[in-house]
Amino acid sequence: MPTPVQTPVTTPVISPSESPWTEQWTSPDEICDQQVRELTSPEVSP
Amino acid sequence: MPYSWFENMYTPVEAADPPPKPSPPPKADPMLANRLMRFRSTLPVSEKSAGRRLRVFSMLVKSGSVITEVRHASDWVRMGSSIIEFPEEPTYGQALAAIENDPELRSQFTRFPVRVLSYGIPCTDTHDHIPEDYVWEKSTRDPELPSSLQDLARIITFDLSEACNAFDDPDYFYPGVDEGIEPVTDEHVGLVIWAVQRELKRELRRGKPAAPIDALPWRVQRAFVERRRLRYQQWGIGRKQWQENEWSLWDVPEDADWVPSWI
Repeated sequence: MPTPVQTPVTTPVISPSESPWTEQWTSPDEICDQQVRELTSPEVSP
Repeated sequence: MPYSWFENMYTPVEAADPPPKPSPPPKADPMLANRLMRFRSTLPVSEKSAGRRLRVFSMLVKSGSVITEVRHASDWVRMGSSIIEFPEEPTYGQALAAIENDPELRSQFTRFPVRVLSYGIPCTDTHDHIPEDYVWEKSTRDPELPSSLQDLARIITFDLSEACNAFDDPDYFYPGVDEGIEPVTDEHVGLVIWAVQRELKRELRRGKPAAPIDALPWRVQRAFVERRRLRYQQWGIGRKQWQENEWSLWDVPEDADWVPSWI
C-alpha cells in the first residue's frame, strides 16, 4: 500500500504591520472594555 | 354635560382641565458635570466630557433620584438616603460636590481595589518576575482594572497602539518619560512586556496574530513601560496604592479640563 504523501502545512507569514495593533485605535468596537482593562495587567506593578 | 362611565351612579363629572403635557426628557448635556445622573457602569469611548476625577466618579456611581445605601470597597457605590438627599435629581457635578463636602460620604470613596477579577472581586495575585512555569491558556482571565478606571485602561491601550507604529517605522518618534516617575529597570520593562503580550495573544482579531511587542525596538518597549507608570500615577495610583491594592477617588487629580486624548 503506497504511503500517503503528507502535504506540509505552512503558516502564512503576516508582517507585523498587518496586525490590527499597528492601527491607530479608531475602532473601539475592535476590543471590548473588559479586554482593555485586562490588557493593562494590573497584577504587575506600574 | 359630560357624564362619567357610571352615569347612573355618579354625579356628572365636570370637564377637568386637560392634564399638563409631560416635560420632554432633558437632553444629554455635553458636560458630565451638568448631566443628570444615570445608571452607568462605564463611559463610552466616545464620551467627550472633561474632568478626570468627575469621569471616574460617574463610573463609580449608580444613580437614583434619591440616594440609597452606601457601600464601599467595590466597583460601584450607592449613596444612602439617610446620609444625603437632593431636592431634585442631582447632576454628577452636584453629587460629587456634595460627597466631597461630607466627611462620612467622602470616606466611602477612599478604598477601591486596584486589581480585580470577574465582577469586581478584589484580586491579591501579583507578578514581580516572569514565572518560569507559566502556562499560557487562551481561556484564562487575568486580573484587570475595575471598570471605574476605564479611562486609565484606555489611555494605556492607546499608548500601546501608538507604540506599534514602530513596526512599520523603526525610527518612529515615541518618547518615554524622563521626569516625574521613578526610573524603570530593564527587568521591569521585560516583565510588563511579557504580561501585556499574554493578553494580546488572547485578543486576536480577524485571525491575525498578535503584535509581537517584544520585537519592538527596545527604546519603544521602555518608553511604553515608562508611560504606563506615568498613567497610573496620573490617576493617583503609585507604589503604595498598588502594594496595598487600594486607591481613592480623592487621589485622582480633579483636572477639570482633562479630556481623553484618544478622541
